[in-house]
Amino acid sequence: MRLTELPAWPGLEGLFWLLLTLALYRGLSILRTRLKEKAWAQPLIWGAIILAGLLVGLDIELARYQLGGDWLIYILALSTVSIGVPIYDNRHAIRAAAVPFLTAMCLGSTLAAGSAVVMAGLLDFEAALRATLATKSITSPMAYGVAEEIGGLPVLAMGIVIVTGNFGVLVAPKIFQVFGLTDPRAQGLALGVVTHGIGTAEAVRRSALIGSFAGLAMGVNGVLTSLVLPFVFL
Amino acid sequence: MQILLGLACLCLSLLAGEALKDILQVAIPAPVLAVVILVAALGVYGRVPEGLRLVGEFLLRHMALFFIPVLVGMLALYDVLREILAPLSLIIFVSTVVPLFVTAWIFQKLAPKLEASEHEAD
Repeated sequence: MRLTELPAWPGLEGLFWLLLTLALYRGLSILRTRLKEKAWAQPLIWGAIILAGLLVGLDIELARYQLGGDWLIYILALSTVSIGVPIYDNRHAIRAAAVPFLTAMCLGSTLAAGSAVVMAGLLDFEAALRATLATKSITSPMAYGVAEEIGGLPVLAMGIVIVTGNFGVLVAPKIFQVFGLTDPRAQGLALGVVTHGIGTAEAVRRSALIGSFAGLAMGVNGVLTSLVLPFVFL
Repeated sequence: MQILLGLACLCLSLLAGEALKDILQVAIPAPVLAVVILVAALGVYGRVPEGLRLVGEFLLRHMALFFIPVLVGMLALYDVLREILAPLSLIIFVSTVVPLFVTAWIFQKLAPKLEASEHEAD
C-alpha cells in the first residue's frame, strides 16, 4: 500500500479484479442476508479467501490483483476519518457514562494489547512482531499507520486486526450470554474496543444503541491508543 | 453537490491531520489526528453537514469492502505467517476472548443501570 503516491492506472486487468471484488462483496452480502445474518457468513473473510484462492490457484501475482485492489485501500483512510461523525453524534451518551466508559475502555484496551505483547514475548516472537501485535486493539486503517510508526509490519497489523475482529464477532454473543452481560452499552463498548470496525458494523446491525457505543469505543480507543503507543515503543 | 461537500470535509480533515503531524513532529498517524480535528470542527460548527453524514455513513457501513484487498495482500506475508501461525492463533484467541469479557463486565458493574425506556425494541 502506497498512500503517498499516485495510484497506478489499473488497466484491463486491474479493473477486472476491482469489479470482481465489488461483485463478490455484493453477492456475499446478499448471501449473508439469506443465511439470516449468521456471524460466520462475513463477506469480508469469504471474499478475501475466494480471491486469494483464485490468485494462488491460477498462479497470478499479487501485484496484478493490487492494480485494482489498491483503489479500495485508498478509500480506507477516508472511512477512518468518518469515525469522527458517530463520535460527535454520541457525545452526550458518552458524557453521561464517561467514567465507566473510559475506565472499562482503557482496561480492556490495555488488556487486549498487553496480553498479546506479553504472550508474544513468552513465545519468543521478534521485536517487529511484538510491535505489530501491540496495535491489535486499534481499528485497522489506524493500525496500519501506528505499526509503521512504531516499527511493526503494517500489512500484518491490519490483517491481525481484521482476523481479531471476525473472531471476536463470532464468540462475543456466547460470552455475553454465558456471563449475563445484557447491558447493550457494555456489549457495544466491548465490541468496539476489541473487535473494531468489523464488530462495530455487526453491532449496528443489532441495534442503534449498541452500534453507537461500539463506534464511539472504536474511535476513542483507536485515537487514544495511537496517541499512547508511539511513546511506549519509541 | 452535498456528497462532494462531504468528501471535501473528510479530505480537509485528512489534510489538516497531515499538516498537524508535520508541525508537531509526532509519530501519530495522520488519519488519527484527522479524527480529532473533525470532531473538534463539528463541535465548533454545531451540527453534522448533510453531505458529510451521507458520505460518512456510507463509508462506515461498507468498511468491510475496503478491507478485502488488505486481507488478500496478506498473501505476500505467507512465508512469515506459516512459521508463526499456531502461536499467533493462540495469542489472538486469548487476547480477544478475555478483553471482550472484561471490558463489558467492568462497564456493566460501574455504569448506572439503563432506564427501561432507553432500551430499544429490536
